[in-house]
Amino acid sequence: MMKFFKIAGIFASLALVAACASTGPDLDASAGADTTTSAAPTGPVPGSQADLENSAGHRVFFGYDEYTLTGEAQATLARQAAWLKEYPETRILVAGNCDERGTREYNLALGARRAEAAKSYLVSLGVDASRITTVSYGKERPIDPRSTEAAWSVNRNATTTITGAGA
Amino acid sequence: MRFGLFASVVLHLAIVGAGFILPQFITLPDVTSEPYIPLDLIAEAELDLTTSVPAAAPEPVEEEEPDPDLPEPQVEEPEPAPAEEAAEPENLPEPEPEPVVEEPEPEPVKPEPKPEPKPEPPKETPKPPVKKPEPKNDDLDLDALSQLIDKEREDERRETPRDTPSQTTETADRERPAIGAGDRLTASDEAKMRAAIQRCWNAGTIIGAPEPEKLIVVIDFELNRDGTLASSPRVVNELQINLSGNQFWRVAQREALSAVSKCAPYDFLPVERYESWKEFRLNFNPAEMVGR
Amino acid sequence: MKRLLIILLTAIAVAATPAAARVTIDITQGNVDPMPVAAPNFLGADEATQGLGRDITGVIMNDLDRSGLFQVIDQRAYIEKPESVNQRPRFADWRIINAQVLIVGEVEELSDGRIQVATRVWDVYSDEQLGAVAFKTPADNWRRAAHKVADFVYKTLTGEDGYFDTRIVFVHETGPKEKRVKRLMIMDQDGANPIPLTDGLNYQVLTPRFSPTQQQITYMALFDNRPGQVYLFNIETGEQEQLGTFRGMTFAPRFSPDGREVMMSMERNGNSDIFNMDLSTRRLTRLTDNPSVDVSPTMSPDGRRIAFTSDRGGTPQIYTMNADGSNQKRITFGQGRYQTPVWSPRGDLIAFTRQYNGRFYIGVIRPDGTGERLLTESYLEEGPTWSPNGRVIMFYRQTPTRRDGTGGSSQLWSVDLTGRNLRRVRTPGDASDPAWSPLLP
Repeated sequence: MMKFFKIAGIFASLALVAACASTGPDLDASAGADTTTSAAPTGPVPGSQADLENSAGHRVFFGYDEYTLTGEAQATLARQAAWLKEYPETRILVAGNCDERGTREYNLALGARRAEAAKSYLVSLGVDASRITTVSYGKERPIDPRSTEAAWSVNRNATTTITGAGA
Repeated sequence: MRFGLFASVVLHLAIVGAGFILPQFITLPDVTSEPYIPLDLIAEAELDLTTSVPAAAPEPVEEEEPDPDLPEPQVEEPEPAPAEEAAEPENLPEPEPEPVVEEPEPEPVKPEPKPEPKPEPPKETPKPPVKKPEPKNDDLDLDALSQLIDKEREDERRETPRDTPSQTTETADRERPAIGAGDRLTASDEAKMRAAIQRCWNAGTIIGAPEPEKLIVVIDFELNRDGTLASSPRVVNELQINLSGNQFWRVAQREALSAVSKCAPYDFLPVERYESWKEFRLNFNPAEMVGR
Repeated sequence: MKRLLIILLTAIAVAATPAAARVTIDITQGNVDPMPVAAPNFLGADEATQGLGRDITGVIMNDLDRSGLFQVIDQRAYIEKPESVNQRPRFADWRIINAQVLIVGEVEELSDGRIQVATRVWDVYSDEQLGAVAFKTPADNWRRAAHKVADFVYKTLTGEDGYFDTRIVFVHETGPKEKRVKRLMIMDQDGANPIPLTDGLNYQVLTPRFSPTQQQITYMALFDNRPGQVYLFNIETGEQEQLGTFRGMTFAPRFSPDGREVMMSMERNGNSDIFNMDLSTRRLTRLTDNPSVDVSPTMSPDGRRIAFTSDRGGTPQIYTMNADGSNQKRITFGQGRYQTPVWSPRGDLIAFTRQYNGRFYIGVIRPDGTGERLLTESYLEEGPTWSPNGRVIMFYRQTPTRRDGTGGSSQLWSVDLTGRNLRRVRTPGDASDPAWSPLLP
């Protein structure tokens, strides 16, 4: 029985790797444009992650220990909503992130709130809730590793990535 | 592209499904634990000195060897090491009466005189005592009684009301009518004594105990003219400590006794004022040491 | 009544005696220097047992020394060379070097191939034996025997259980901050025998916690692209399982003191509340139902109260409630943010992380909210865990990164609950989220 689980586990892990290799976006900002490599030099493939980042922006930022959306965040999300209407097959993951100036457990909860705030706003703009999943990474996935105000302010975000779909 | 989407969805669903059905789909840890090997414990009695060690029988070897200056000194005898400690207080600046007496909590252990004498926990404890042993025999009552009597005696000598919060031992002493010129401990002698004892009192283990403010130990002892202990120090509230069943209090008792022994001889006290310092009562109270 | 009369008469009699000149002094300050302890190498009849004796003594000395309560006197200062564990020491020889306690021991090979480690603890000032004990164990398990001896000495001298024969689980960290690999590791309390328990490939391990009753750990696995979940890990079998399957994230797990339940936070639609899972039935009970963040539950040792973090008042603060979720009330009111409450196994204190003025502190407070004391402070520290005797707190401390984003290490530290004896805990590489095991059986 144990062995069965092990084997099943291995298969599932392989499935994960395969899935992410085909469509899974890299969450790392520096690699955000990876999916464009196969695109024509004229610009990102329409409906791709790079397209989303280019035409709408995939990140909204928050104040310290805040999860309310700023005007700027709302504008970005409005563009995301419009973009999502253009590509109705697309499914997205919204990940909530925090800076390191908090405890691990509290930040996991705060990240969940940020992701939910972004999701709710997209839904309010007409995006079908079933297309959006959320996740919180707490303070575990900083974009900028530095211990500065500037780094913290970009690490407090909700990041949208395409999980399933395509054009 | 269509196929890609389809495959992706299927695979993702497979993962999610696996997550639900197979709790262990995550790669198993590469290392597992090692088994524990139980340790047998021999009953302490098996190793007890009284059964297996020639109790206190001096080894022949011991006698052959030229013993260092200290042939099994009694506790009362002066010892080189403590003497060094005891000497240190001399270097202290001669304290003013005020610094000596700045003790916010007067008489930490003295019980209030009550109709029914019983062992009292420290009076200044802000909260009501959790549980205290009810006196069950006369010894206990007598124990508390001696404190009670002391308290009454002191009250007699005092003019100020006993509940004045700022009152201290030293001021109380000063208010006493002089018994005789050499009968009163001078402020500087008291300061030296306190400094010496505080240096000898190992309080590190006590202040980390639960409710350390309750672990008060009262020790009586008498001194010879040369500052050595004239008798073994006695724990005034020993019965209270034993009845409490509080293991931390027992450790506090041991540390207090040890401090008095370790500090001897008290040869820094002036012989000409022997009458003023031949009998001591020390209240060891760790409450203030706990940062609160 | 008669007794009272006797007492009264005695009182009068005593009062009538001339006023004694007994001087009363209040001793309110003592020295908190570590107690000087002498520990000559444990004896042995042959080279093998002598070698073991040296190693065992080394471990004992290190345990006692790191506790901060004891200071082991350099062996070169010793005058007497004990020849047998059953010989009464020449106390004068130990007093002269200022030893207050003397530990004498002997390692003996038994006929069944195991070893016996016999130990006596002597009070040098009263010339008395404070205790004696012997442990039998296979020779290659000598480290644990040494920790057992150290625990025995600790208990003999302090009146409370020791914590040396314990282990620490923690998160072993490698790689840059943006792509940190975090795997579960276990080691002896003194840093010996580190063993990785997960490979860190598919998920990050966060916030592991030891079961107070079994060789079991609960932790949160943080995945890519799907919500993190609480897992259970059996140290003896290596088996692990997800604790229930939930749509939302489950996190901040912690065992109840009887080891039968795991309290945790569960997130649903962005809101986190506290639940309690019965491990035998896997039934989940909701304890908080609040639109604010409720995280980090920790139960009192008597199982009656739960402390947790909530930001229902605007900022994260510590609250307590009954084990069924009723009677919720706030206990921290200081400036800043109070988080990660952890109830002491002794029950008298709650350890916490406080953020204030851009700094992080580890502190303790009484369950009723009085007596707050801050013990340590740094750029970033959190995640306290108690030694099983409720005397020492371990936590992790993270240093800021350099300007180019490199550096910023994470290390384990321990501090006495009085705020003394702050020490680095040796780990192989970077470490965070320590969790102390119960005293091993």
